[in-house]
Amino acid sequence: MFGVVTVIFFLFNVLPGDPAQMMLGQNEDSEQLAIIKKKYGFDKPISTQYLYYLNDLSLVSFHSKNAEDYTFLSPNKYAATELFSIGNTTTVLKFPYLRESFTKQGKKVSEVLTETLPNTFVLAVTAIIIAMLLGVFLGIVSALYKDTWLDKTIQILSTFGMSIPSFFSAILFAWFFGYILHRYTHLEMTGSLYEMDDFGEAIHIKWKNLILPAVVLGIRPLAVVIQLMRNSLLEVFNQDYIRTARAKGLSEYQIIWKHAVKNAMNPVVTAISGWFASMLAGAVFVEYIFGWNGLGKEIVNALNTLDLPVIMGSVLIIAILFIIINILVDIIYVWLDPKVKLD
Amino acid sequence: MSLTSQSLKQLALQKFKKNFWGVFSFCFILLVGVVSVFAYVLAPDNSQYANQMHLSIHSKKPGFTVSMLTIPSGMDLDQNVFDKIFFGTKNADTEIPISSFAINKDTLSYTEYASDGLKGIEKAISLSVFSNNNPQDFIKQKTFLFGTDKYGRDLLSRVLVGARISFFIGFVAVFISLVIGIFMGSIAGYFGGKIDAFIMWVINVTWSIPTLLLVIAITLALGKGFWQVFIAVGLTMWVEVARVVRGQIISVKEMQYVTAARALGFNDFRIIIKHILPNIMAPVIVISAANFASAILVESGLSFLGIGAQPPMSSWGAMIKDHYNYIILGKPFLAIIPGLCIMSLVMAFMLIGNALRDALDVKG
Repeated sequence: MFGVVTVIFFLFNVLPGDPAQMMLGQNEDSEQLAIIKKKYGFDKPISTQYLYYLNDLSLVSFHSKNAEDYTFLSPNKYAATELFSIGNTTTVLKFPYLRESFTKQGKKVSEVLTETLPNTFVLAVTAIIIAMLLGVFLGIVSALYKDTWLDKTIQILSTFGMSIPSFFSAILFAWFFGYILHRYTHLEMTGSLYEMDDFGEAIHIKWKNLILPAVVLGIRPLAVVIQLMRNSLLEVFNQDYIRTARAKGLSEYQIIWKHAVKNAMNPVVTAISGWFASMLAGAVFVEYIFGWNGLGKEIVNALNTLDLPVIMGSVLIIAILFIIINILVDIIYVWLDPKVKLD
Repeated sequence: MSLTSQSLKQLALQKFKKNFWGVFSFCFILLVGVVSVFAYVLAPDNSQYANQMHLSIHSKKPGFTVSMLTIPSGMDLDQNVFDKIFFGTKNADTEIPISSFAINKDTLSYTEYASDGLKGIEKAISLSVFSNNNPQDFIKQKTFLFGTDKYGRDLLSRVLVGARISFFIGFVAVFISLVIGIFMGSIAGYFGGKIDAFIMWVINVTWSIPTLLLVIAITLALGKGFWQVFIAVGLTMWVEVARVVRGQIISVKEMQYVTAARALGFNDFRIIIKHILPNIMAPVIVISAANFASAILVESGLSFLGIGAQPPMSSWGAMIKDHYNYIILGKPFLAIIPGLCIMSLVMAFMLIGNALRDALDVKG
């Protein structure tokens, strides 16, 4: 995790161009420039800036009592509980501070993230559920009817799903279901989970808007799950215990569902974990096209305005989620497959 | 079993030939490769980046035909044949779509093309600008097979020239990823210990940042532009290659042929290059085909976001970005054609990857 933080910091700090200047835009004057530089710590050498960054992110951090210093414990920056202080330095326990957005005046990155991340999360989870259910089902069908036309059709569709760029499928789906078939589907081309009603008063949830983005986002994982499920099920069918089950005279239904499928699920679960995090990233395109108010759309906006703290924060949070999910999956894996032991 | 002895390579080739989709994709990729190299020869609009704009005939349907008047600029552009064939013709001539024209004594009067029933502006021009005083030679019927884009450029030419970037990025990214990946993977797998631990740490860090975001970060660090994208994609893809190479090397390190080579006193470098690598190439080849496909996808995605190839360079992703708003204006082909191009090329690489996997008997 430390490595990720380091890589991200240095990647974004070797940027050509002066971020302080970018914030002020055209109407700059040197005094303002100096103030901003000081506020964000840009006047310090890069190694000091790096230490500041780590200090901001760390749960336990050190702060100066001098109001002039960058690390001064100001209440509108940090939500902290003081632990103890030595001399001029206070040690505190705090929530990681991701700094402020450059372009949205004074808005904290953590606020931006808490506003948008849940939306993306809902979208990704729905997409994964769609991909899992449909993918496992189609994978089983494909394996059971191996080499028939049914299997071949599913295979072709799955290759198709893997090679379509997500922004292209998003455009096609928005166009086809949201525009051409709008009369029948009543789906909008764009829309977010929460929308103001016509009077701009109450905010209400529109589940309807979730359908198209989630389906589009689910296409790729779906294609992968189908392939994996099919291959792993075919492998399981050749195992001895399936033959034993057959010899015992179990019904085909019991063999497939109780013996084969559960064992064939392992690689699928691992793959899904990998996919979940990249879906948070892949949501960039889908959210952008459907106007879904999530992290991905925020990243695109931040990219266009070069709002570095927001991009850094988003990349960081996705990477950390990725690590956490992987740990969780390792645990699920042990439960699914008793042969594997946690290290 | 046949009696004639065959090398493993021949056997793999034989298996590959039997796979219809594999051979089909191979031919398709070859075709796209040729097209991308000779794009400017094949394209109707052979100006640099196929960038000849005619705003008055923007976003027309495929098969649109108009008479085009070319007014020579009189400038003599110095350009050799090689440059023309591979980088397009530098063109200073003005092309004007016209609906009608008439020749009076020494002037040519014409009506500019205007769509939607509007009347075009009438203009006159002296005949002396045309080199042989015969303006008829400079008026030609032009058909736009794929229609025109929102600047009135020929979509077919843009698509052909755009194939270059997609194809090229695949090559560069796969090349970079192979060089770094094989190097890192083999020293990690072969030497083990601290080197292995360090390289695995780098791999895990790179791996836990999603490819797209990492590429975005690198492109931001290196600046916008298409070379940056090439490098960025290559720098993120080596991870997979390195993992596979490392795993393979660990599994063959203890095999007898490696021990034998060591007993003969060969140095480590020679053992890795000459003895181990040729034996573990199969999975690397399969991964490279997959990487090729994902490099194309990532590039189109970046261009779609506007941080890939910069205009006037033509890239399929950027073409979709420019035109996806037109999809509800009854002109979906503008975005769908480049989209289909990306899809078919990516699919061809995926199918070829699958075929290679079956032929080389690589697991999973």
